[in-house]
Amino acid sequence: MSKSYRDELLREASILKMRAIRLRATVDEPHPWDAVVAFHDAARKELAALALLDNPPLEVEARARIEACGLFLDARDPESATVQWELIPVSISGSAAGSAMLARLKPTFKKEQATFVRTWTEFKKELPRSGSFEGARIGTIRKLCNAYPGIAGFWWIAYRHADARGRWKEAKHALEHARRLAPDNVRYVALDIFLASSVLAPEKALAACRKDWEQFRETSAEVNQMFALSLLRLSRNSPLRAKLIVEVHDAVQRAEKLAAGTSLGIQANLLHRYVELLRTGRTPTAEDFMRFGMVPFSTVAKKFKLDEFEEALITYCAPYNDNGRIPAAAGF
Amino acid sequence: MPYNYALEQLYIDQDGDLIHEPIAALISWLDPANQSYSHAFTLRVQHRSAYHDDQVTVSWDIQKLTATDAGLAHAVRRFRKGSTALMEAQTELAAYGLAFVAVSCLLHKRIVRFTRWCPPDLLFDVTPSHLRGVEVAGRATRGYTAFKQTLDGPPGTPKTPAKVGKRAQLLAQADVAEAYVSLWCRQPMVSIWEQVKP
Repeated sequence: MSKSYRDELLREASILKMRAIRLRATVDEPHPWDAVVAFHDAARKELAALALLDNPPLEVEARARIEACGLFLDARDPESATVQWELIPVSISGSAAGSAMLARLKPTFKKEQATFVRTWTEFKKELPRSGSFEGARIGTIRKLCNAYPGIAGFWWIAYRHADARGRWKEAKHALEHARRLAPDNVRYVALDIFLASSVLAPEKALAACRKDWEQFRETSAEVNQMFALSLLRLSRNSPLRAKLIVEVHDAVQRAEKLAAGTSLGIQANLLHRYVELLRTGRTPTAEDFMRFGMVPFSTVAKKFKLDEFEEALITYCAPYNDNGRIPAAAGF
Repeated sequence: MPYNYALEQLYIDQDGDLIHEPIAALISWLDPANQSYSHAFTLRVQHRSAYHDDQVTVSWDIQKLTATDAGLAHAVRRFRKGSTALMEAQTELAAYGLAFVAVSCLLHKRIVRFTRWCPPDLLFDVTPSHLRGVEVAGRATRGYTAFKQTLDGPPGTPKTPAKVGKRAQLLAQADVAEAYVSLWCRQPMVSIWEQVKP
């Protein structure tokens, strides 16, 4: 990468920092969300600029890590700050010059880290015996997100908690926050695409899904698969079903290719076979589902409703569906 | 030699995107009630033990500024509406704005990078191992007394250890070849510009 690209990244980081300070100076809230995001973006740009150097001089690496660590603290993300703190070259911290470099950061980091460890320990004590986040109290999760809005993982916990209870809007809100802090996390993108069809009006959901898909369709099997599933769901009872199925077909083919040889590849293959039926204009029957190996024939023969079976197929083919089975709630 | 600096000039001397927020904060900090567009600071320029006092007058024409930076008037209003609880962050930004002015007047350099956690704050040369820049601080009150503490570090108390001042921090950093400290206070309106190294 060129020097000028690196300079531009660091210039953008500088502007973001100024903007974040302004937001803190004008918004009367403990941790204004826009300031959190600006500081977080600035920290990630500092690290992206460092990553462009093959063998950075020791002091260049130390300065970048110190700056990123401090910015993550500004962004209320002591977790990422700790990662950067531990990556500051050891030889730097032992020298007088290094001590001077760390003079501003060290006391703040130590204090914030201690508070964070205490808060996290308290949170874990409140979890049920299984240790599952889904079982935590919503008030406690909200407190965590308010105290540390820069930690994507806490928004992920809030998402899981709301998702497990079918509170889709709340789940989407939390997931959007996680995505904003970790824009390259394809799992967040894929799940957000899937949620869009449950939360947004069809037109808006389509636009949002397509926008995300455009960005990741060449690289992510998960995003392709979730896009295909979300569109399949949105196409149901839509006058545009045939047109949308063409898009679903394109996405599922990409998913199958990108995930070849994995369990997601198998799920994509099943969805592909189903979409092929729709593409040819055939209405799938109970026997088709049986051939996909999804349900016992006897069950199919008694009560076959295409929408329900299709919804079950969507759930079955969704990545991150931990048990890989059709959930009982789907009516089977 | 007294310096008269119109903030409009900052858009020529410095990176416009970098100074947008500091200028808005500075205008609101100097003129919270929208009454005066010209403010004179006593500027103490010091190098080692020698110093001389000068004057720097900062002024602006809000119409001209808005013609260059359409969002500025809105940004200034936002600062003026801010509660006093947020004054510390505003002081911080305003001091950066004034340091940009000082760098333009005294060094005729263009700031290319801003760092928050590893001094100096404003860098005009980012050559590895030969960094050159300016460390900045702003204070609402206490003038030279506050500056002395910033430069030398607050003395220790029975409960808290002494802290290293900005001067010593800059001197100890081997990869910083040239460094200045730019300190600003609103009440009284005084400033220090110190060349710390070389």
